[in-house]
Amino acid sequence: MDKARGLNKFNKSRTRTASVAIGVAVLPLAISACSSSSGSNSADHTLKIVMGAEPGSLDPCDSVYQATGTVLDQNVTEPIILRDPNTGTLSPEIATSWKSTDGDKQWTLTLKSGLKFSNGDRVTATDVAASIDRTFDEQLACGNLQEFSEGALTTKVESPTKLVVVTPKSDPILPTRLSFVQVGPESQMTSKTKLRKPIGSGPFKLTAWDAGQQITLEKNTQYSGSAPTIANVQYQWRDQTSVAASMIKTGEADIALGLTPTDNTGNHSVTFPTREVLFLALEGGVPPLDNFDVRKAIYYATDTKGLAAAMFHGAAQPATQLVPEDAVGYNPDLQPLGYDLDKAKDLIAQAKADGADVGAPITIFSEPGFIPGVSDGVEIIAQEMRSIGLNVETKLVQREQILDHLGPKPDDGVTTALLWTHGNSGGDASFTSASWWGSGGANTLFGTPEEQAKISRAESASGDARQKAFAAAAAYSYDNVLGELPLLRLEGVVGVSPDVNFKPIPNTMNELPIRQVTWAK
Amino acid sequence: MLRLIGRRAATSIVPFLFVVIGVFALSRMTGNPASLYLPLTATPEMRATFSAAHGFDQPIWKQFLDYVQDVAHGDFGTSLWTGRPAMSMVLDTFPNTLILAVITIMIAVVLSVTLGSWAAYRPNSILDKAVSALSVIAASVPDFWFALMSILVFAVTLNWLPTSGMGGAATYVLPVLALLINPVGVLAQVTRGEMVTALSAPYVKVARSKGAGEGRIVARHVLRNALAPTVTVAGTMAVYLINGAVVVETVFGWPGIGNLTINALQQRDFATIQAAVFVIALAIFILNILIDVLYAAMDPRVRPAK
Repeated sequence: MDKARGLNKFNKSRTRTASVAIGVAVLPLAISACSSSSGSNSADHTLKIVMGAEPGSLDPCDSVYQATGTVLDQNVTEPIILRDPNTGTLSPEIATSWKSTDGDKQWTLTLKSGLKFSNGDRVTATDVAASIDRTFDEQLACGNLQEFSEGALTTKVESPTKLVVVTPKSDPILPTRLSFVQVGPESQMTSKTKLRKPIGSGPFKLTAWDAGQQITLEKNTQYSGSAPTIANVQYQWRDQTSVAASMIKTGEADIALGLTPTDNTGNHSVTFPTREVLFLALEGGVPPLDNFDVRKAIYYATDTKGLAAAMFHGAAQPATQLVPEDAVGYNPDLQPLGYDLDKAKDLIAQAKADGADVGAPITIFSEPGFIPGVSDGVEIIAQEMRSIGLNVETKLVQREQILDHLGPKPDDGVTTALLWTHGNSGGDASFTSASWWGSGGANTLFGTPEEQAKISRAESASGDARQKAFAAAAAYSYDNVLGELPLLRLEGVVGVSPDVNFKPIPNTMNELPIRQVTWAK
Repeated sequence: MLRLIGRRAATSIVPFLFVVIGVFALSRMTGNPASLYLPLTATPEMRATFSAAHGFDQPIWKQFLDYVQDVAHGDFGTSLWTGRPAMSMVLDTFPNTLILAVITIMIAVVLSVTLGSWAAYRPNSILDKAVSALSVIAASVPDFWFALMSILVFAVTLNWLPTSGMGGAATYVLPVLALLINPVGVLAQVTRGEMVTALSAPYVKVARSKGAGEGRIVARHVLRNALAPTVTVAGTMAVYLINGAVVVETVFGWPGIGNLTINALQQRDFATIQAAVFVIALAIFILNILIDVLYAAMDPRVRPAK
């Protein structure tokens, strides 16, 4: 009897404990039923954007960085000059006009008067000068520095609406470079630390940055242009693209950036061409890559369609040049060589007959994880090269080890090939030649004097002559040099909810002006 | 008890210092941040200026002395990536990790002790077999996969919960669930095993022969003896959770210290890495003392002799 009572007591006790445990576990579910965050975003007039990473800073001088530029560019801050992302055409923004003197070495900018920052202060030439100067602050290491390969600019304020910018050497595309400079007040632009609460003159102002969670913007009442139709914007970030895609399906986000083709948004994914090109740079000064036939054979042996499938699930197209289609200097007449192993083997045989040391080892370098499927891509290319008789090894190493092999350098005993990407977001071929094309590029592994002469001539030209000269240089490189083998033009994927109208463009990788988005209802 | 705490504190200082020094040295072996923060087009002069401005051009021993000197003054440096004080960033994120860890471990202990005890009380019953099978599955499920599946089921399909992020109570459910699965599985198995052993121990037979009620026997005698190993394992689980459950934080976009540390590593943000490891090591050090104290409170045999 006592035992039975005891068991009964224990059973009651167990039941109570289990009830508490289940209650603790289920409580949040019950709470969630009352506070589920899913629902219509248009109802509260907040556009919700999810991106791949939290910005490191919101400093205007870092606007070329994807996360920073997405939030700031043409939303919180405005550039000195506006560049049309589709055509590359420049139009007035903070500067209403610009003209060059002294052989494109001195540029005079006339600024819009009456423009105000979101804090009510007027935008003056002093602010614009400070914004330009900030780009070259070596201690800050601003991301935008990469668009100024010609060297540091000097500025001279002539009046509140007139600014003179002097370049170290002739630079006919300085206005294009200035389209990367986002303007902030002098008080912020002289700060020696990266900014987290920038003030700008754009249609929105920053309201909050809850570190690790979200950034919110609201309409800037001081904005002089037409008021945006979207009043509030919220940015979140998710490392996992599949989770960002799910947020589109559940209505937690209106736009999800940086997705992959395999992410399931429920038929709400939009694919678009980007300006990123995957290429294989070849160190053409050392055997066996010093032989043009060998370089061409590698190009023939690279199955770009297979590479696109293996690395990007097909979201990439064969490329013929590093310069994107919509940029000044693109040559539409170049055609992909195509995948032809027989031709590749013939070229290697020819090179061997000409005395080339085709058995000399080649090392393909890349950085682990810098693009999806990079390790597969490197191995596929290496295998193709081996199949035509080349001696190839692969190395995935950190960036500083790659830097050791880039640019002009004495022979280090390693014949380098590098699988990398290049994104020319400036819309002019000189942004490519500054880094990866011709012997004058900062990182280039190979170029010939003839090729560089053509590129240099193109860099100093302007207008139609510039387009023709760069296109001619591209054709020359393709037919005679092949220092960089353009492989694939990459495509981007974004998720767009049915609640909004938004069509991504190549620059969506770097900037997302909210004026490009409207509510669907 | 104070002597126990003092002894554990003394023995923990050396490994604590070893971790701090080790992280300082190892993080610098990942390379010079100048190569990451400056564009590829930057000149060697620019890289040299950047390195000098941030002290990376100094010998590592000099960098370490400067670091120790600054830490002694409460200065853990400034994040290279965000420009914010590194310790502020860490202290902003650590509570987010801690709250997940505390909720998870509390639910895990209650659930696993309940299930484990229940199963042990009726060994070889259907309930026991079910609990054993489920606990093995729970202990074996990869948390990454479980986290993604829970999003698919509860957020995308049923639309009951938000997919990710940190906000209201609803946002805690899926991360806690994903963190809970492994500890519940492991702890339920440990509890069951210990309870089965304890239930057949001579002192239980003696208690029964003296007419003690089953509830009293289980609650006062069996559980008390069986729980000590459970507490030890739960402590180990808590250490893992406080360390920042990186995978779960990453999947759910949870702004915790694990997520912060991974980002800092990717960005070669030495100051943040060092501050994060300092705080994590300190937290684990305190947690280990707490576990020892709890263990000693439950089992007088492990208390130091007076």
